[in-house]
Amino acid sequence: MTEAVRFSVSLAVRSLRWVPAALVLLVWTMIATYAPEQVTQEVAMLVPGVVLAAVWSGVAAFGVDADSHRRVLAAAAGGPHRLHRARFVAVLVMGLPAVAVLTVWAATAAGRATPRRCSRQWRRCAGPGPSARRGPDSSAVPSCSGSRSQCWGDACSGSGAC
Amino acid sequence: MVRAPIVELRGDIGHGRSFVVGGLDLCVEPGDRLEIRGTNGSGKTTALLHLAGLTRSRTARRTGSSTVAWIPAALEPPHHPTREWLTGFRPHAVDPRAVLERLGFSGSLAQPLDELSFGNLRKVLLAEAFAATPDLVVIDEAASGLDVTGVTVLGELCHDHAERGGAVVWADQDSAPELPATARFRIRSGRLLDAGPGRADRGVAGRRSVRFDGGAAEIEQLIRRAADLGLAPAPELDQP
Repeated sequence: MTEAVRFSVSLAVRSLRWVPAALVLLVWTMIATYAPEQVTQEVAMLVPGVVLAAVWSGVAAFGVDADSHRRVLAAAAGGPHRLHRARFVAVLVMGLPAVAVLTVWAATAAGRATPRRCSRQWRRCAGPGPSARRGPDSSAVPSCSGSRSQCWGDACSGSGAC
Repeated sequence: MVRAPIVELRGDIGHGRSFVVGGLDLCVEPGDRLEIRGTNGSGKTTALLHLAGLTRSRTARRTGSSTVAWIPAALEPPHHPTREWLTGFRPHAVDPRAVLERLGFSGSLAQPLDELSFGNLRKVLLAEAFAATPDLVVIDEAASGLDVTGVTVLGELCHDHAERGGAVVWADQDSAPELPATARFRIRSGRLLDAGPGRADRGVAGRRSVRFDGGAAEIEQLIRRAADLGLAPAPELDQP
């Protein structure tokens, strides 16, 4: 089984049939993460691209060779169903790096976006100064002081009034 | 001593609802070298595919080993390095490169599979299959594309494999040279008929004609080798 999976990965990688799927995913990811303000929406926008790339990769990996060659490998693997299983695992193995890259990308985008993120529901000041939570329509505006003060909002950064 | 069969195939085989070969009752045991002959379209390949477990019919039942090597009559190879293909997709008991050398492979292992000649590609397939020492080796059009050395060594490989407890089943056209077999079958009118014991036991030459462009010494060596295998009668060579 291990040999069958390894060989399926090797066959699929060498065929270069995964390149279009990877390009689609790359372009889709770039478009989706162009504006990193809203991480959830970015990740949601990635789903169609991920699905497209996954289906494409699956078709490419399963159809990488002709019937006659597939039968040779199927006999070696112990039957057609075992070869199918090995190719399924091979697709997963091939997809793992893409998933890892996307995860890191999304996490980085989320990290970048956090200090600038604007909560429309709450404004929160944190730091050595007084912390306060106020609804968006609250008339009471808490004051922030201290060099480490930050506000989750669109009005305050550093020391000053939120 | 009763030997457990490697594969048993019983029933009617075919494509969908159309039967190609009916009333099959084939039992492959360790040490068997079975030959199946028949005309084009008689169902040789279909029978072999069922025997190898690569296709199924609802009306046939196959039981037995799952360690099988399948060598098709024609292969559309991927663009993949021969060296990696040869050793890549299953473990081997013997180095396949040694078997390949024995078969008289004249290509390069660095070449991709799809750039090899038909004969060399067949040798790569055979070397990989026999080096893996599966329970059953199934060969479609066994002698197809092979030169004299290739056919002779294929006979040796089949013999060695059977001696180790494996089995080999192959199909060939009527015009193809005969390999030493323990039993012969013929598919005629949709039936697998027993064509008598194999000529390996009788030591009778089955080859019809061979063209070989080698030197006299090489020809003499080949004839002696063929005689040792039972492929040809003992040579009466003129002494210089």
